[in-house]
Amino acid sequence: MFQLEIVRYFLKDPRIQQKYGISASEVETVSLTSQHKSHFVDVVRRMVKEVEDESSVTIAAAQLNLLLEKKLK
Amino acid sequence: MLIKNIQISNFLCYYGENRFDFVEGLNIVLGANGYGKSKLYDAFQWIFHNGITDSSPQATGLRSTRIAKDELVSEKAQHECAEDSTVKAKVALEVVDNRGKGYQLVRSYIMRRGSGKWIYPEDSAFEVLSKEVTHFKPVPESQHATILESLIPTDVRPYVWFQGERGINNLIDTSSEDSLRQVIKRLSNIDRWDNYIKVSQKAFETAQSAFDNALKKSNRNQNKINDLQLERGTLEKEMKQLSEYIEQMSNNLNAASVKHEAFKVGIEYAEKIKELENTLKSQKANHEVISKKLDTQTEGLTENLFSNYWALLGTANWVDAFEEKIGVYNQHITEQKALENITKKIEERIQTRLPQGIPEPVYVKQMLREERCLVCNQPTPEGSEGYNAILELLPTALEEQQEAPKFRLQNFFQRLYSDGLALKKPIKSSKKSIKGAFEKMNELKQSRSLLEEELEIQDREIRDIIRISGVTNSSDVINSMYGATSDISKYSADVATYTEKRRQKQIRLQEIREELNTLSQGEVPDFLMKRKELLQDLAELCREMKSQKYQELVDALEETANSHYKNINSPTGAFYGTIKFVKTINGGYRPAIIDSNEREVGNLNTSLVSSLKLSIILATVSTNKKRNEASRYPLISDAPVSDFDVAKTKSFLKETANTFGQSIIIMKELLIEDPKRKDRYSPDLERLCELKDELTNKNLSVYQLDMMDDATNKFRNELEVQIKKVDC
Repeated sequence: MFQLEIVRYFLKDPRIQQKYGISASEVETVSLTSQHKSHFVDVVRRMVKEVEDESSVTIAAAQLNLLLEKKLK
Repeated sequence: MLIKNIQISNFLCYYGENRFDFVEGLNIVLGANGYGKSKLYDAFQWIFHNGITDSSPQATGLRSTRIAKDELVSEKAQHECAEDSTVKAKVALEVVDNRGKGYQLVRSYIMRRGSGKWIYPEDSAFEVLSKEVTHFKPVPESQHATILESLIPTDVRPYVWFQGERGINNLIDTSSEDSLRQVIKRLSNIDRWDNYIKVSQKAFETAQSAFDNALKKSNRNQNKINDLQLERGTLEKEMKQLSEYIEQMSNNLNAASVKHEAFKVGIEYAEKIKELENTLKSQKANHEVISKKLDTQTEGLTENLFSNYWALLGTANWVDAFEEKIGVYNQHITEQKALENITKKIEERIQTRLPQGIPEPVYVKQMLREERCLVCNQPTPEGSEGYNAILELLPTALEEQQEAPKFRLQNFFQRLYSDGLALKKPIKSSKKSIKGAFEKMNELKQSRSLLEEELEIQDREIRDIIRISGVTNSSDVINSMYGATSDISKYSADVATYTEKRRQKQIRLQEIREELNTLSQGEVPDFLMKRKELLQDLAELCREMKSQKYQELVDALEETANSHYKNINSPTGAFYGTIKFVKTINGGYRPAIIDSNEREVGNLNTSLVSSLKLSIILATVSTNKKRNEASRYPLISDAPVSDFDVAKTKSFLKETANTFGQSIIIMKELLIEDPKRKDRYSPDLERLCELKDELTNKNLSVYQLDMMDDATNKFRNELEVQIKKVDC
């Protein structure tokens, strides 16, 4: 699976879509770089990138925290 | 990878130079047992794995060149090798990789014949040559492993190269969920989802830790926050422990369920066998009782012959006949006595002779001895007239003495007659008594005979059930089934209890988290709480995604396996059902066959089991369309269809040809006895032509492995496989 496919696969979850305000059509059009109002999309993309690039678990986890800190602060 | 050809020289039973050219499509190599089929498969293995098949029962892998070095070179080539000379076994495989680049892979082993013994090198030599425009160029050894891996990856090889029943069983074990787990892993990199779970969980824990640290610095509700954080820590530990318990219990439950499933098929038979055995036991006891009664009755017949006068049956009229005879006899005696009386009286009157019968011989002898007549008391000297007259009386006296019993005979006859009269009634009634006794005996015999028939039927029924079911010890099956049922009940209760406990703790944990969130308001930066919440959702999502992805792969594998399974089995016309991957309690799967009512079919025949396994193996390679492995790697299989009939063999070959870009099937099926040669075979051209016609847009190439007419396995150093191209 390509990274984008994995991202879309994660975002297809209806419960997540509802909680984070992501529509099904948005999921279909999301790209690896597109802007999105939901931080959940950003964090999923980052997680997929880190895992597929085979980053260590600790570094990947730290990157996700850092990303969210920047976005939410 | 496409295999263009394989050249084998002096390798195992392939003496001299041998070559097979393969087409893109279906390649069949036909060979009867002992004609070098497995050795051809070994040639491929030797090239890629530097080993040959280990056919010992406990074997788990290959025998390396180091171990099998004295077997690699053809015995005939060894035999012909002169002293101080060398002999070489060599296999060369020409292939084209998926980008169109050609390679030649060459493995060889050279032995030297010394004086009286062979000198074996430790290992084989291996070369990889890349195809240039006009020639093959050696590739540095450092690149060998990479090239081999690119030609056919190690993890793909077991699913496209397999040998016989054992090879298939090693890949797919229908009683184990582990083989399906391995297949799922092969289909897609399912383990990558574990990395997502690990990363998201770690990110959540980091976020929660940051949130906790900030909350600890809060100026309000410090004690409550501490208590809640402490309780949360304890709850998380307990939940982790409970999860471990649940997993452990689920595994136990699963093991018990697998056991239960395994015995479920046999339990019905085992119970039936047990029931029949019990009936049989009671009937055998009954048979023994009847046999004893019959023995007693038979012995009674002999006794009754005499005690109840059965031996005299039919002699009742003899008494009447005897009565008549004895009447005549008595009359005769009476008359004779009367006559004697008259005679006696006359003689007494005449007094010329002593009265007849008097004296008795003892007195006659006394008179002769004393020479005196005791009747008239007169002397009778020897020689006198009186003496001679007495002497004459002696025989008469003796005669009379001998005739005396005549009078007793009458008494004897009288007693005999009296006895006869007494027996007359019992003899007459013995007929009825005999009839009764024989009727009873026949009745017993009939009962025993019927019982023996029933025993035979039940015994046969038990043997039939054992033969069909394979249940040889019904008690063991029943006990094991009861044990498994009891375990299922126990572990189910444990899982339910622990799950409920974990649920309660989860509720409490959520309450604490919400309470801490509330307490954090105004005390902790808002983003810390939001980050923690979002990452918690992400961690949960990752766990769900793995489970969902796994299920999708299972469904896809099941669908593809069913497609292969149907294509292989439907032409046979026999029942084959549908493959179902049955979910086990601990989240695994095991393959089963279900009927149209969704019921699992037990006691599958070996042909169905083989086709089930082969279908899963084919699906392992063909399900993931994106990987396109079936087109990229050739299937090489030795004796995959030994359990199939001709129709199923053909349908399997068709399915293989339609699934793989290239397949090489080495088998003995589609060979028929050669009518012109003793113990030799020829290709079944009719079936092969049918197969060729049915293969649309696919090439078919057929070789036959043959031997000289006079070659036998007894002289191994003369063995030489002949390769014949079959035109069909």
